Amino acid sequence: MTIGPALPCPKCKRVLESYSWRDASSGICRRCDAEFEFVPFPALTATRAISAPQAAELAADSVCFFHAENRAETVCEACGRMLCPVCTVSFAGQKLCPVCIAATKTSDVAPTVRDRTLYDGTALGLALFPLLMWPVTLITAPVALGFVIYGWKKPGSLVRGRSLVRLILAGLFATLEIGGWVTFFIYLAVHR
Amino acid sequence: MATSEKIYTRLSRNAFGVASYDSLWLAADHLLIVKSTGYTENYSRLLLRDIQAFFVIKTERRMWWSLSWGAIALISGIVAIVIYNNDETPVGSVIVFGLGLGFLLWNEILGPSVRVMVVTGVQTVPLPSLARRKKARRVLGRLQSLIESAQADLVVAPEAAPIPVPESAFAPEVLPPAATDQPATADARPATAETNPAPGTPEP
Repeated sequence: MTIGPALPCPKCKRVLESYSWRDASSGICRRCDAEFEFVPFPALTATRAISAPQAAELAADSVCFFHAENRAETVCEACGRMLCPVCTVSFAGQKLCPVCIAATKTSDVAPTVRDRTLYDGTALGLALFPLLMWPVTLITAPVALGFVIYGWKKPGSLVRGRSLVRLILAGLFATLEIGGWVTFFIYLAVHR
Repeated sequence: MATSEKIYTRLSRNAFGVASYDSLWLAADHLLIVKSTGYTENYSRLLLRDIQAFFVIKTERRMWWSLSWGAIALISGIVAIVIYNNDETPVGSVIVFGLGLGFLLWNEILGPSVRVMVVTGVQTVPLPSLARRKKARRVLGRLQSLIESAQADLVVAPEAAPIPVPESAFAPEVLPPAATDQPATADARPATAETNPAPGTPEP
């Protein structure tokens, strides 16, 4: 007898019985023939020790801000409220209360942001790619300039940061294209 | 603002998909999967303390790329020879032949293709940016100690007894030779269907 993890095959989603283990860290799924290596970690079999809230027994006990019947065991690192284990949320390396977590989700801070618009890349793309079909730049150049102005103080990529070089280049190209169109229309007006 | 948010270290370069590319980044306590279109970025986070396992599955992607580049190189090579025999200079087809051959060699140098899946308690997430075995092993080797230290405070649940699998379930004669550098023992991976259920997974 031997043992194996009760995980589904990531390819065919069959569980336990469909595995043939080659050794402790590799095997093959007998249903879909997917060969795989397996790297397990303690969280596969272990759990985190859960600290249950303790009832406040003495009048001198500090109680949770949200649960007056529970003894406070920690302090929110953002707002300073005293918290019981029920209300303590470990988040981004801090112990926070639910209210501060909710406040973080509505702001654009690194630990919670889910997506970002890259105004620098968008503006540069709008300034450069339409040059392949240059009449389109009559529309795209002002839009690209608008993106440069609008995105100037917006945060950029979460991992790469904001590229001022791209924004400046986009602004430069967009201005040149707009200048070209203005010159073209002035020329038409003068020579009509 | 940009400088204050530099909390991520790149683990893998961009892997190109259909109209988007993926990359993998490491922070102090989590992995960040970035899916980018060039105009927007979407972020998925995996806390190191929640990662239960990695699956590295062998795929045939390398073979199909090799066949594609090989076919391009072969066809352009034949065209180049035909043009050369007609006393003309086959500049275009030689360039295509060189590109095809170059990409074919590069694809072979990158090594076997794999798909890496991260298993947590509630989901199994692919890491598209780890598409080659060499890179996957390098990144997982780097992550292993970080994940283990993040999970150092975990305790084994008393009810987590291993599920026995009969020896007859093994069929070593149909398996290719072992190809792993992950030293682990059988004791390192006991788990039960009760403690690690697969949501939405039908029993076979």
